[in-house]
Amino acid sequence: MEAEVMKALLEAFEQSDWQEMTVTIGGDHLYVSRRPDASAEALPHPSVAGGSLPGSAPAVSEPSPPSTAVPEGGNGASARESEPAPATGSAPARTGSAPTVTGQVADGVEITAPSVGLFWRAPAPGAPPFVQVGSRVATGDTLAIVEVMKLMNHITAPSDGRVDAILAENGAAVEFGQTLIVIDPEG
Amino acid sequence: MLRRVLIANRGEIAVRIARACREEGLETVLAVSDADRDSLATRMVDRVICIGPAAAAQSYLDIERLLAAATIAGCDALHPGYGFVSERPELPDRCAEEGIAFVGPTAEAMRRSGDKAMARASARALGISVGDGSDVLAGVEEAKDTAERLGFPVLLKASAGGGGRGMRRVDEPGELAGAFIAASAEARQAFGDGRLFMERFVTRARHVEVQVLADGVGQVVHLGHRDCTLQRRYQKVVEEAPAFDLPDGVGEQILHAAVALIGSLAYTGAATCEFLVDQDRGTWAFLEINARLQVEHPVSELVTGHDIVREQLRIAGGAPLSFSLSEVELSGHAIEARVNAERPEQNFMPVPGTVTRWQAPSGPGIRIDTACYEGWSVPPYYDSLLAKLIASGSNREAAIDRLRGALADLRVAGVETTAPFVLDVLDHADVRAGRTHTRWLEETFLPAWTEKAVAA
Repeated sequence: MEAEVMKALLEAFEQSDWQEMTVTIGGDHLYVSRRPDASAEALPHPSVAGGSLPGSAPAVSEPSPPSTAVPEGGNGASARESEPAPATGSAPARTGSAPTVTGQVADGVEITAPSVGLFWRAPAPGAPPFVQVGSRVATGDTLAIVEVMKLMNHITAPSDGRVDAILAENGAAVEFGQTLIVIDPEG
Repeated sequence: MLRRVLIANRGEIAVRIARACREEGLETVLAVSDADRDSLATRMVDRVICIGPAAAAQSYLDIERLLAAATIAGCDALHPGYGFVSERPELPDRCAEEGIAFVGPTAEAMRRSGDKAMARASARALGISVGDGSDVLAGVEEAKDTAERLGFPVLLKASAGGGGRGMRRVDEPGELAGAFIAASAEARQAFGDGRLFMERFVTRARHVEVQVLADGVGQVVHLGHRDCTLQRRYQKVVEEAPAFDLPDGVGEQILHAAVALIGSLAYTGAATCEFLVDQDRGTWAFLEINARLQVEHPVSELVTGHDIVREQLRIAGGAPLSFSLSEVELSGHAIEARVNAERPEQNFMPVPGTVTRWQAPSGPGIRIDTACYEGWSVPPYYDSLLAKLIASGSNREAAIDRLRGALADLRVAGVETTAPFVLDVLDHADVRAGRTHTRWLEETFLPAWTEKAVAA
């Protein structure tokens, strides 16, 4: 990979809110991650060069809002992060540092995905979202939907409070256990 | 050609499938439950997606979640492994709807082969011996008539069944009505289908099965037979290939029967045809078809040199088998022992825990299929299989000796295993001499062994 190409790719990555980037050009692979424990293991096998990579598919690791970049603790971490410690050394390239999470988010009640699926903030395309950051909610209110192959699972508020954070983009793929919404019960 | 495979299973078979995909140049996505985020297979795949909580009903048994993971990750194929949803015809149906290649037969072929009564009828139509028995029984009255004709003891079996559920041995007429109702209820609960049929109970039988591969483009081949006679509660403990010491001509006959039967079902992928061989009478009968990869597939791989999982993937991608029947040559003998995290002295109670030491045996002719590593916590939610130790040698005796050595060399701490138990089984003179039948382990070996083990 030429230095100029790599520089351009890294700049694009820095300006993005992506967590990871995997690029394959011919036999060259570039993997960049903001995650502190990222490793080159995420690279594909050489034999699949040229094919698009799992990590580049519309995905669970899809871009999420910048303020939400770091998964919350254990149950918000993606499976790759909870992998048994990778034995390999450093990634080919790493940039940036992990954005931090605000104190507010850490203090709230985390609502996690009950299943793998697609995260929807509104009952239908074009409809107003169930809630916004700052919305007041009562126990049992629908906050969002996680769709599993057309089956709509309503995500409801476990307590009264105020929506502190919405941690997944509308339409994003989410995994079981991923934190979707944080509610401040005191708010 | 396939590009990216969703591995819809866990444990050692997820590891096995991931390896085969790697060798076929396929990308891998692993669906895991919350309890398996640290599993060995997660280290070997391109991507991991957590689909649900530990409970299998909301993870590995949930077809829609598996499909959600496959579509989200852009998979064009799904390998179901064994167990879980691997034999549910809805899965190939739903895969077809989503444009995902199912690594296995079509839903129709799965129904034709997986339904025991239907498979029996197909076999009989081909002139294959299905043993003395009935078709689906209309009710208790027909069951009574059939039992009188066959002679007690008889075996009631669920048409949709497997794993011993919906199965009852009936020794005398007085037990029949109760057994019929209980077995039917059990089958309805387990499989949503209470239909039963009846077989004459064979007192001294060997369980022999034939591994078949059908590529859907003209070739149906067998990879020899296996003996899986050493069972406990219909769970196999030791399996070997080829089946040994069969009555004259039986080996050839069941190989031909299996190929003919699978060939008649418009079947694609790997299948196993099970037979009961009556050692006393020198006869055999077709039992059932397993429309999936089997736990004990490695012994067939070791004696034929062909990789069954890679062939499955090739077939799912529309490619022909990489070999023909004339290229199937059996060499030597292979034997597999299942090592479970169980306490045999206490009725094989599962003992999940953290594996603090895992030193697997190695050496010539030894293969270990496992998802174990040091530090791994064996989750309590699923089956207790820790590893399959497989040994091959130039003949049966050499293979057993190697397996003995491998079991003795296995060093595990943190969880109890069935390795010492299997070692004792292999050392028994009846096993060495092949004087066993499907109930030998439970009726002959275990009572004496348990008494000794508990005393110690």
